[in-house]
Amino acid sequence: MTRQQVFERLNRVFQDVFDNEALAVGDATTAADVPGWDSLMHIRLMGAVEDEFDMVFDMKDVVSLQNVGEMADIIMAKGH
Amino acid sequence: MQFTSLPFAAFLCGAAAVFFLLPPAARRLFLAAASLFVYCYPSPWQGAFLLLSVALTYGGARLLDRTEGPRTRRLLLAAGAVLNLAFLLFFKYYNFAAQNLAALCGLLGLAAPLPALALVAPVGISFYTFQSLGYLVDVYRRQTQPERNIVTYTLFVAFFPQVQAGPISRSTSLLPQLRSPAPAFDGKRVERSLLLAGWGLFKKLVIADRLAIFVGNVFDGHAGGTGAVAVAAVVLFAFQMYCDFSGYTAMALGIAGLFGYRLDPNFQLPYFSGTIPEFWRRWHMTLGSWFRDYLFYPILRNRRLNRLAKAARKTLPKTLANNIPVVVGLVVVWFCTGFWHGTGWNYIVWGLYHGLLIILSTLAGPWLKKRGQALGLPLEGRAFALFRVVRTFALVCVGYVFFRSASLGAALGLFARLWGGAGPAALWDGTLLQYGLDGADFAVALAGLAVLFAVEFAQRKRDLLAWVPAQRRLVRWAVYLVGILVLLVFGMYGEGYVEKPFLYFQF
Repeated sequence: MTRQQVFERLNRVFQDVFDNEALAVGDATTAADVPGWDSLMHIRLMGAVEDEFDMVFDMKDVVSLQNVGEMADIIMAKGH
Repeated sequence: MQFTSLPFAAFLCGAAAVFFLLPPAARRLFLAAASLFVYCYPSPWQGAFLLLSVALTYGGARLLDRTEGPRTRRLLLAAGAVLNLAFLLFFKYYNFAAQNLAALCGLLGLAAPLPALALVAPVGISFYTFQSLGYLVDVYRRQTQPERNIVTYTLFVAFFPQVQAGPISRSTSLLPQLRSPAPAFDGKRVERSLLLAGWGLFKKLVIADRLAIFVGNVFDGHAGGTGAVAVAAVVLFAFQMYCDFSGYTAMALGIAGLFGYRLDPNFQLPYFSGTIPEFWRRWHMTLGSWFRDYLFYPILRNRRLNRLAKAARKTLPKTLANNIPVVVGLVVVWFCTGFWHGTGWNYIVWGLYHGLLIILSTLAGPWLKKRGQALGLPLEGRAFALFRVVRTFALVCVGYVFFRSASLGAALGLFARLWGGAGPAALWDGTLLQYGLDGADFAVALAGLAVLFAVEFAQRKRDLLAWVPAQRRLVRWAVYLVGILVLLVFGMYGEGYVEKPFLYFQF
């Protein structure tokens, strides 16, 4: 899967989790850029991303992700 | 040793001078030695416990790193956590457990099984235990490399600006700084750091210690106030608490900055929050994020709980079933947060009260918002934003009744005193002045709060810590001189100055 395809699927997950169809995420998007992205939504988001890509994040990744770009890196590194 | 004491000021000047006079290679060792000296000096046995904790986590982390089997690694982490927590639980909670057991046995007609002990918990044990535990988990998660240099690791735990009451540093933010070559002297950084520490001193000495007199007399005094007087005491306690703890934190950050190290911030204008979850993301942030990363997230991701939630969807409404891990996580985290703060049921009730508010906000928040929109309420306007801030502050104040009272019974007594008794006129007819703080001191405290509000409001738009030192010399020095004068004239020193401990030192 190309990075662009990962982002297309991530965008759909974000829109679904945050119930916001106008949402568009990029490499540098952080929790501060998305209204409602708090610790609770973070876990829901990680769960939804795991379901979408059929993978599991390490706890290290859950707590240390800095932006959506890093999320995409991990998804791609896990073989997608 | 209190940051506000004269011996500490002398120690700090000496330590900073020696630190920058020494060759860079020797600075870290000196800082670790100075930190241990100032911690151990008042009570060597407390120092011994600190060193024991340092040795345990230092060795445990290195062992963890060398171990490969997931089962053995889990066991090692559990052993490290249990040992660290055992000290904390014993020192802080043994007597609480003994008292409650004795009360329970008394009800059943049995003798008390555990004797009460005269225990004094080592200073900062709640903070350094959490910091060490966080480090151990980070190494377990392979998020951080275990520290090989014992001096660097000792400094990480015992660094004197933070060992007594935080901020609880993360291995990912402080350790890399301590591993790098020691910082060189930078005049501008020293200026910024002193400004920050001075601002903390202002909040503590001019506002918090003054309000403490009135608040203490209403909460604990025999002549305790009622009605408007009690409400005033609760609201002023909210400001005392904030000025005390954020004042301490500003000093901790400023002192660390003097030596060139950056500690994590603990406050981000918490009383401007619109909801309780937001308040907790802006109040005592290092404790909140500690609980989030090391307790809340693991519970939310627990497989069994998530399986349970899936199964419950068949019988419960979907939103409720999906939120089972969230509710379990929040109850556990907020029970622990209350328990961490102190050994009394009032702290546990305070923690659970906040947990309940956050659960309600999580479950009912989206529904309430939709209802509000359907009813056409002006949810986007400034008036509603102000309403949310006032509502959140009021809810926080209700929690403070539990937090500040000496016991659960005293808290309930204060709630009873809030209704009836003194009417609103008590706020201006001189009744307030009967509780130990005279008119002049009240005026200084209120003026201090006005300055606090103005500065922190301005801080939202502009970083004043960078702005003041960037001004022309005349403006800069005018600010500094006025600041020093205000501290000297309006600081609460009293006769034969005995510094008052920071509220968070007891936790």
